[in-house]
Amino acid sequence: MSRTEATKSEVIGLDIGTSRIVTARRVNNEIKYSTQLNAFVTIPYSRMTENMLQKEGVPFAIEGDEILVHGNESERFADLLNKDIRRTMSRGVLNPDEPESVRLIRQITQLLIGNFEKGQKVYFTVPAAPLGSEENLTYHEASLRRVLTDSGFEVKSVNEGLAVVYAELESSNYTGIGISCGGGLCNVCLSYLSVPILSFSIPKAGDFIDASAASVTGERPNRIRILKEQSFYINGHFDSKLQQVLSVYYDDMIQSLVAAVKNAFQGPRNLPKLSRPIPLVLSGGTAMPKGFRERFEAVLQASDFPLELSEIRMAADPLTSTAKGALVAALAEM
Amino acid sequence: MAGPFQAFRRASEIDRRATSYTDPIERLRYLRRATAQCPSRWRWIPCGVLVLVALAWKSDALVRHPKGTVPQRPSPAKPVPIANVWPVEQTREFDLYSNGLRIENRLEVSNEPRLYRLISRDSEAPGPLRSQPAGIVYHTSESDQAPFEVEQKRALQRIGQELLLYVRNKRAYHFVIDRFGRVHRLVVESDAANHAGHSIWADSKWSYLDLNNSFLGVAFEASMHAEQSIITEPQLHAARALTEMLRSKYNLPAENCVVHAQVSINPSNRRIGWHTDWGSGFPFREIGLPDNYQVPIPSLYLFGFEYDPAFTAAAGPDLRRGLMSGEDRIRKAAAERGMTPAAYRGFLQQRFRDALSAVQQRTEGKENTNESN
Repeated sequence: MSRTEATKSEVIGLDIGTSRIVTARRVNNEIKYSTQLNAFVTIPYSRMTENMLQKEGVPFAIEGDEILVHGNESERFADLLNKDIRRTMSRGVLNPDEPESVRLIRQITQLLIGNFEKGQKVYFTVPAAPLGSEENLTYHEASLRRVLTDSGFEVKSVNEGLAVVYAELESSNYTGIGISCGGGLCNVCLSYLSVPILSFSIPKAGDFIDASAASVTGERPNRIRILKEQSFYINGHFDSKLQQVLSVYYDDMIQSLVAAVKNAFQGPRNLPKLSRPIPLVLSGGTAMPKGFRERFEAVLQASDFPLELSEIRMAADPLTSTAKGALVAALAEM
Repeated sequence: MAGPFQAFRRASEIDRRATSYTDPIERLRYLRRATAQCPSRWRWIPCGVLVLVALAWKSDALVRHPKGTVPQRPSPAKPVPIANVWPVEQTREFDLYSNGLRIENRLEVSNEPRLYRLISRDSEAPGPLRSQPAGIVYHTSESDQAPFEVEQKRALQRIGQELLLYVRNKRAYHFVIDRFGRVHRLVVESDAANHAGHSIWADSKWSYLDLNNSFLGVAFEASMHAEQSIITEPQLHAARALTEMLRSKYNLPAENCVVHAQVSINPSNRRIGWHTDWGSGFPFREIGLPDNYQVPIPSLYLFGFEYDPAFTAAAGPDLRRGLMSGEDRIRKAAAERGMTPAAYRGFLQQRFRDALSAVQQRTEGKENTNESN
């Protein structure tokens, strides 16, 4: 999308995920998406490198004696330099080990949004608190709010799982379960007639799989992620070591997710008496491998799940559905 | 009990009203406004025990995202509201519903589980997988017909029983409505039935190929060649109740409740109307649906199918109007692209081949294209 178009969008849906930042905008009655990796890689500073990056149009920031290449380009540079990318976020929230995370998120967001008028409305997604934890996400949400507000946006937050419901479940009057399996967290939300009934997250998601598989295979986590996104599928066969290792950790993640969802909906205080089956939608990059939905469904069916489901399906576009949901929430409030 | 009762009633009403909003943003806007007016304890279930009511689900069929690349089909002027029907009693022998519908389960049988891939009607890109039915196809059984007279009651019963056993054996329909208006569940609703293998339908968002998998098959024990009226009064009454229940249970849009003649195709010669049952005379209005005969036929204007004189002869005046409006769409779309109608039809037929190939990839190895009348 051109930057000129961006200024014409009434509102922007912004999904700030551990792995990617995605914007959704309505332009001429169509929803347009832009995506950047929420990551960076550092290069030792030199004037020549700075000039080269400027010439190539590579987004970067200078911090002391380092150049921080961020967004999609970080992956290419990490591969070239045989380094791992670094993340501005970890487990769904700001990465406490990366002091530049707030600044980089601001830069990546501005890279995605481009020029805008002051007061541009932005609805951004925030994760739910981890299940069974009293930990709240006030700091994370407040930090993102401040980053965006300082940049000149008028902002409002949307729960990530609810955003999936808003993006995908209009046909059931926004009733059902939305699950977003991202890099740091799996976010779950049960919504009834658009009202979030119960939402939570579990801290076992894509990064857990990448890091666990990396520790077993000796590969870098980023390399695992790329291989996973390019060619991995869950079919119960173990054709290669990587396939076997990823299958094991995917299964672990799915088992944990299903157990968490089951437990959350099992408590009598939390369990709504729905007299009809409800749909469940899976989204997020971690849910994308072929066979994920089938494996999830099989584990769920074996779990004596307390709610009757009409279907378990993938989101139309798992990578953008959360941003779309944030946009839908924004448009509904106009 | 006043509080919960009020919430019960209000949720049901909100749910029903929301379905009348075809635009997803408008629908969400309405829901947020409406639920905001509810008591806070109603909004947050963890805060108290609530009774949530029957939800009327809708397939993605009703989601409308207009795009310019493919001619859009007009929506019905007013969405036909979906009645709220709920199960009263469910046993192994029968199910009883709040609208008086009774379904006999004695002959219920399973088949292959329903699972189908939606196809975007704008791009033929494969959509999500679905396991929930998207609509209903109405059939006639074209079985032997004895006169509907008291003297014939034994023959009527014998013929009806034979038909049910035949249908069960062939997994031909999900439901059969016999001549006395009894509704029999043959193939369980969660599974596909072999009722409309070579078939096409489309709503405003998705195209459906091979309706065995995506639509429920409801057959009337009836013949289009009957000397008396095609169906009996009890059958009409039962069809209305069954349609209400199925639409309520799966939130099926009215536009996806159609007859076999509208959806049946012959892919080998690219003509529609391989089967012509209910090509005329289907009582859409009497069973609570809009007159869907007038809906342009998707196989015609989305995939370039043609029809022959035999089909126009079998089609009643209403269905012929649907054919004509489909032809109009082809002419207009061809003109917009600077193509002749014949060339545009060729382009559409290629789209069909692509879409069919996508579906066949999904169903490879599955022989599910048998169909009965």
